[in-house]
Amino acid sequence: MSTTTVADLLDRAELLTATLQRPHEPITLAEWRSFELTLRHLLHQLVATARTAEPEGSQSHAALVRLLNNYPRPAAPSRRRTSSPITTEATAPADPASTHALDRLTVAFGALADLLAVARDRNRDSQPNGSTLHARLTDTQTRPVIVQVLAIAAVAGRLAARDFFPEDNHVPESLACYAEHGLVLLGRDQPASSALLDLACHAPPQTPVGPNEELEAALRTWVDSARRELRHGIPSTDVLANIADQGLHLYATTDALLVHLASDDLPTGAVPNVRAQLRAGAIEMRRLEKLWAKVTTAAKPTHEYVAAATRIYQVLNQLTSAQPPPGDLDQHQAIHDLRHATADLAELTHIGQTVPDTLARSRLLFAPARILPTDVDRLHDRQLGRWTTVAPHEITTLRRQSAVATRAADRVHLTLTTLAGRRTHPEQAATPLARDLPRSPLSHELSPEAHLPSLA
Amino acid sequence: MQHDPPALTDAKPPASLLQEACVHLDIAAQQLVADQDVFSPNITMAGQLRLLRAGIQPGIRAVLEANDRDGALDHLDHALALLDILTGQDAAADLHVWTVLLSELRPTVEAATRTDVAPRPNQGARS
Repeated sequence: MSTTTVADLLDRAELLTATLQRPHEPITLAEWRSFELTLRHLLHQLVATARTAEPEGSQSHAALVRLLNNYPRPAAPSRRRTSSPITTEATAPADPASTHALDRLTVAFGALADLLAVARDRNRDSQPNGSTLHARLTDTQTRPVIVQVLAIAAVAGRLAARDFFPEDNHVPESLACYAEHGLVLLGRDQPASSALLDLACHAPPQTPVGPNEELEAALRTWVDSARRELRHGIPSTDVLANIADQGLHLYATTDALLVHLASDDLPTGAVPNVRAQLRAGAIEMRRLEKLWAKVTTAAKPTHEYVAAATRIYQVLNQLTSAQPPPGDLDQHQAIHDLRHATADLAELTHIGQTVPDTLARSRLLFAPARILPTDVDRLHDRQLGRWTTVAPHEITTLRRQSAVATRAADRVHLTLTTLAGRRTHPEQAATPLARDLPRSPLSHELSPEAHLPSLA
Repeated sequence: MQHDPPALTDAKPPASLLQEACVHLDIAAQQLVADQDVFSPNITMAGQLRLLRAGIQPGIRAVLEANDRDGALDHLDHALALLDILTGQDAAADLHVWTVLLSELRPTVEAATRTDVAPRPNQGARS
């Protein structure tokens, strides 16, 4: 299992917080400081202060930013030192090898912050407004996660305070108070549904063994290569066509695996709908691929991309050509990996959506003169069978089909996610920790920020 | 196998052996996907052929001729034969890489072009 989602990390964090209630080694100040700093970093990634909010959500976003700005300064411990577990070591990242529950909780939060930082960078670099990734990082989607994180922090702070001597327990309690006030302001009863929970990071095996690992490694290598290829100033249109083509292959493979799983433990009523969406998505990808194949930027695909595309082609082909699928293939895991790849595909097609316009406006997109509208300037090229530049108004079909294929890719991913039954649906209950916390704000006298912002 | 020169391209006559090889690859790809179901393995195979063709030289498209008697495998073989000639000459340094990748794809193309290939279970209505 080398795919980790936001939901996985939050589940782990909740479990680790619960273990703090059991007898454990006393928490040191250094461990607590590390937790405080990591939590701050995580909230910073969740709120994304630098982001320009949409006008309709600007007030709500400003309130989130104020909440982040009011993050308490580390409280100083008492000067009186007896046998208190408190030490004044310099703050350092939590040791990933530590077996202490708080250290492990800090590492889980750190991993979550890193995952979000990578996603934010990717979203900023590609500027795919309206993409699945962009939608996942909006305030609407981050807010339920912030609530869950604050709930964990509140509980962890209260439990950690037990490890400190009375004169020092204000150190974790000040953070607990901040988290509890944040929960009151954000509304702890809001549902835990969030598309952000499905955001994943991957660590594919370096030397894959068996069909599942082969599939995962091939998928990840291809997605990463495609992303790098699309970052080029002048991307190869053959790569853009191939991305659509590989997307079609992903759908065909998922469909082939579903055929064999349908009779087992999947809800039978849902499978025909998923298969219909896969086929519809494949048709749109095929149309997009045909349109990209008609134009060129005269840029070659890189060897790296071709190697990755060849590998994914071979791996998917092995899965679909063997009927039934290989006996040592974990089909559920394979569909799980393919589902995550469909999210990446939706992101890639979304990035590709902006490419035709950019290239055409820069006069870097070419097509055979014979397929373009007849023009006096093009007569000569037409007679000689040459390629000529394409004007922005002549790529309407490509532009429209890019948008249609992107929407279809989003639908396929959503349908597969629904089938997988992840916690991304509005009917899900509120996060357990947030729900179970006391209703009234606690320890007002301990709160360093009694004037936290109210949310619009 | 003896092949007639394919007078099928936008660029008439082919400016070089490299272009001619690319024309053959494009024809092979187009023949593989003719009237196929959207989940047919031939579509992705053709996509691989086109990607490799682009690696050799982007911006080569062929026009299918109605009375072309050669199949996709014949065109691929013709392209490989031309590339073999070129790799021994003053060709681009990476031409050998593309030729090897195309050679590796040949058995799959051969299997797909056999008439007795059974359809996949998920192949349904034609798109």
